[in-house]
Amino acid sequence: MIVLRSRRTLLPAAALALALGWQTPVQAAAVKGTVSLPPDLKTGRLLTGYWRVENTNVGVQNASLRGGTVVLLVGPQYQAIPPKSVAVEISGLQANPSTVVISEGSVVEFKNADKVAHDLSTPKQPQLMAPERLASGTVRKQRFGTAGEYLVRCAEYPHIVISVIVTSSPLFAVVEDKGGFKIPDVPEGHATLKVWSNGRWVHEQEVDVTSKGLDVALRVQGAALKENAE
Amino acid sequence: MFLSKIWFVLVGLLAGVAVTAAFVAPRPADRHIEQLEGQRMDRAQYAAEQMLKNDARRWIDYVAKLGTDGKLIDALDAATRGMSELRPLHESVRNRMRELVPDRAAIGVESIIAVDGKGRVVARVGDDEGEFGESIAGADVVADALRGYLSDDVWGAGNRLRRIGAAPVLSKSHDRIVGALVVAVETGKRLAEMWKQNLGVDVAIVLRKTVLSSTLAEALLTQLPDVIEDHAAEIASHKRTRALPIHMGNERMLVVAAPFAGEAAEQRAYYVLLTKKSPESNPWALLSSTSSDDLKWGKFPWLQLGGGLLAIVFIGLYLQRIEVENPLRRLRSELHSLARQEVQKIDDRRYDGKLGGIARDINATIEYYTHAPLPKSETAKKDISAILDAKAGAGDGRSFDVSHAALSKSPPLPAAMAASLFGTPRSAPGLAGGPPPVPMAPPPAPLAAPAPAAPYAVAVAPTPPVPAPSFLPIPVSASARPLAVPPSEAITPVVGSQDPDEAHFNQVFEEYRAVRQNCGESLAGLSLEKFVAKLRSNRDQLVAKYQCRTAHFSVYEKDGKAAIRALPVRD
Repeated sequence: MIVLRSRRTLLPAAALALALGWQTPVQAAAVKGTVSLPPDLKTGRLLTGYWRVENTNVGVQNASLRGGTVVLLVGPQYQAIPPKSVAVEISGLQANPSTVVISEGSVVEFKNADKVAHDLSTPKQPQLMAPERLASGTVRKQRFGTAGEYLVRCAEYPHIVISVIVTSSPLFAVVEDKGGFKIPDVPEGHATLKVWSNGRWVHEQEVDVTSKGLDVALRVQGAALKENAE
Repeated sequence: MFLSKIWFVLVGLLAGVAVTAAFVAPRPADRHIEQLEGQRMDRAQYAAEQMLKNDARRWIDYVAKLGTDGKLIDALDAATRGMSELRPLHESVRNRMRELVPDRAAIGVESIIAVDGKGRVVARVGDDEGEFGESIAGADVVADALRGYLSDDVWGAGNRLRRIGAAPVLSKSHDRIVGALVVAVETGKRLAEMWKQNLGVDVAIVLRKTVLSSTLAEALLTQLPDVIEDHAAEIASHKRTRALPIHMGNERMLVVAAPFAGEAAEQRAYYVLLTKKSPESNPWALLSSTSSDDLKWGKFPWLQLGGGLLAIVFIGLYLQRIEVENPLRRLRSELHSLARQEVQKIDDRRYDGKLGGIARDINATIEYYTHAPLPKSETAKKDISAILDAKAGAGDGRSFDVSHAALSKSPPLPAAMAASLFGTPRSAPGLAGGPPPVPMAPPPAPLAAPAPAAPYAVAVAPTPPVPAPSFLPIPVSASARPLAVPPSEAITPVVGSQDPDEAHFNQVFEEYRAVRQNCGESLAGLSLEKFVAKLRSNRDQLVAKYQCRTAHFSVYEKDGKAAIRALPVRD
């Protein structure tokens, strides 16, 4: 009787365990690490004049990345994120954040908090966002329906460049000022890590994500940057 | 003519070479001048770039020195720490900057901006002096200054171009950054004028396809922005254009464009150096640019040029003389001799080319008229008037006076031919010599008066078919038109003379009367004397023209009227 009773209990339990085993998703883990940018990107200044010399008394400080560097993981399956609205505020002659990653169909709201007007447009895709004067205190909304990378520029102050990366993947992270990043819930498997900084892809690296996750140090090479820029 | 032709060909070739040289020779010089002008523009652009760079450094140092002022340091330090209200700090900083830079406009400074350590504007002098409190920390040059860099930039905001220099303001203890100073320098008319003085070229400053300022009239520069935009790729890769030739109004200019540094480069801001191009060196331009000094005896080879031209002309004239004029003169002389019957023909071996051909043609013509029988075609189907007078014969059937037509035309050849050749009418009785001698017609002595003396008219009538004769008759109609000739001018017939045709004329008269009677025509006014005189006249004319012995007349009826036809008799 005891044997029979135990059989009655164990068999359904085993079947349930088997079924559950089949239906359990692949283990998700986090991909984290650091991004080291070359000096020319660390300065945060692309449009230089003739001179840029250090003062002789106080050590110079590193430039803030201003949220302009993003790591994107390409390859693994993901569940697309729905469209949403993202705000970018232009204040003190700088955009914050200077890079946004949004899903297809999302809307970016550009708010001018400066005292001066800004002329925003996407010069390389003029049909998407034509030049339009954004007066002080006003907002311009722009929908991005197609996946890709877009640079929104200000004609009056060319150093203001807002990167808009349109992708439905949730597998991305904004690099902190110190270079750290973390992408949670990455499924196991082969993937490609891409680094976006200063308005362009500056690094690309193949990685294998295990169940324990991945800790990677991404070192952006100056030469690779030049090739990419070309 | 051979040498003359060769000479003309040589002169033509020489002229062709001279014209070709005149057009081609300036080209290498043009290229060399263009190259030199391009190099000059290259040097000017390099100098301009160095001046921009030196200016940038000068303004950075200037603003860095301003930042060492104690009052400014204290005020900016207080603003950064938030130890005081911003407005009083704003006023003290603004006033202090005014004291430090009293000649701001004179030195070309448009504005000076003082920011605290957070990037907030504490004070401005120049533009928007009343504005303060807003952050400009995002501007690259300000951000750099707040991080410890001295740097420069060029801004193109507000449709204005300004060169920017910025430097950090250090605390008095030199251990931290308490703010920054930014200077904005005029980059327009003043800069262009200064460059023009230093570089010796005209200058234009372009921002976003608009000419902001220029040392030239802006009306001339309408196409300049488009020219620069067309070379945007070249500018992006080489940081300048090569020397571009363009037309501005009536001027040909050489242009070099280069971008400003910093942000303005993204805003399509360029400085453009312009210089007038040397005029084109085509022969007309070269001639128009010569001065009287160039044509002086010592500088221009007048003697050689004049001598050469005279030699060319004289050689050509000499060849013309020996090959054309002299043979022509000889030919005319021989023709005169021919007309005077001193020679029987021209010695055509003495002449070459076309003159020889003319001489041979003349000889052949003489030969033809002295030996050949009268061609049938000349007299076939023509009445006597037409034979005697080609002009009259070509008429269209009108009545005319046969005596007048016959007597007023065509002296016998070759006299007529000789006359036409010499250009002066000259009567020639004929050739006395020549192979073989030609019997010339006797002069029409019996005729007392020329044409109008005919007592009656002769109508040109269609000639009936004639079976065999070599000459066609002329129909004579007494009733066609009576001639009102005064009796004194009437031809007096030679009655009873020794004319061998007298009997024939009388017979013709009788036949004529009979036919007229038969036809019912009137015989009034018809007299033997006048009739015979007319026939004799016609005979003489035929004899004179065709060198025949005599003429035979016959009467026939035509269209119900009496008519007479004539037949020349050679033997």
